[in-house]
Amino acid sequence: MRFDIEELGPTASKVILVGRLDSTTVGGVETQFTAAVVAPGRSAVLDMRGLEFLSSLGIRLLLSVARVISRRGGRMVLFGTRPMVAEVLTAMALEEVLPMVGTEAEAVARLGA
Amino acid sequence: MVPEAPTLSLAIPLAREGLAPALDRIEAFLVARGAAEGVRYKVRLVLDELLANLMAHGRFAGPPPPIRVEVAARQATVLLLLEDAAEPFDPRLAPDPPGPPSLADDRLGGLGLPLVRRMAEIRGYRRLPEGWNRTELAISAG
Repeated sequence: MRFDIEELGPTASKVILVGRLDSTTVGGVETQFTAAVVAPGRSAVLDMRGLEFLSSLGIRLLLSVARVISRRGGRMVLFGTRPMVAEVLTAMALEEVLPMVGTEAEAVARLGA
Repeated sequence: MVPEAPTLSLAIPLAREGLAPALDRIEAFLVARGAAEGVRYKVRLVLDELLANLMAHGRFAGPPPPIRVEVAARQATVLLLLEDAAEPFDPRLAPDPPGPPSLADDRLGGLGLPLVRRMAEIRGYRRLPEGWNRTELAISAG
C-alpha cells in the first residue's frame, strides 16, 4: 500500500491510494497517512481507482481521518472506488461518512457543496 | 472436513508477516478453479478479518499454534473452514454495532465481524474435543 498527495489549491488535496489497505498494511502507513492528509481547514478527495482491497482496519483509518478533517472544518470525498471496495463500504452503511462519487471533478464539486 | 470438492489445506502462523503469503496462495488456488473476482475478494476479506481478530483479541493458553484453514471451491461457492486454539468464540454471537458510524461519534473499531457477516454465511461453529474452535463459512457471489 502506498499513497501520494497532490495539492488541488489552497484548501484541498488529492490523495492517491494504491494497493491494499488491510490488516497487514495499515500499520505501515497509518501515522504518515493521517499526518499527510489532515491539515486545519483543508479538505481531501481520495483517488480510490488504484485501491485494490479494503478491510475493516483500512475503513477504520479512513473513518478516523474523515472525522479529524471534519472537525477541522474540511470534508473528505472518495472517487473512482472499485466495485468490490464500494460494496464493502456500502455493506457497512458508510456512504454518509465516506461519500463516494465517480470522478475527480464530482469529488471536488462535492467539497464545496 | 469439506467433502467432494478440490480442497486447499493450510496452517497459517498467527503473525502479520505470514498472512499475506497465505492469502496469496489461497487466491491462486481460487483463480485456478475459476472463482469469480468478487468471490475471491470476499474470501480474502473474511480471512483477513477473522485472522486479524484472532491476532488482536484471541486468548491462547500459550504461544498460539498456526490456524488451520481449509478452502474448498464448489461451483459458485467457496467453503471455508477455520480451526484455532483460542478460547471459545462463536462469531455468530458477537453483537453488531448499534448503527453505522458517523462523523460525530468516536467509534472506530468493531467493524470486522459485522463485515464478515455481511460478506459470508457463517454455517456453523463448534468447540472441538481437543479444545479448538471450528468455524465454517460459505461465500458466494452477489
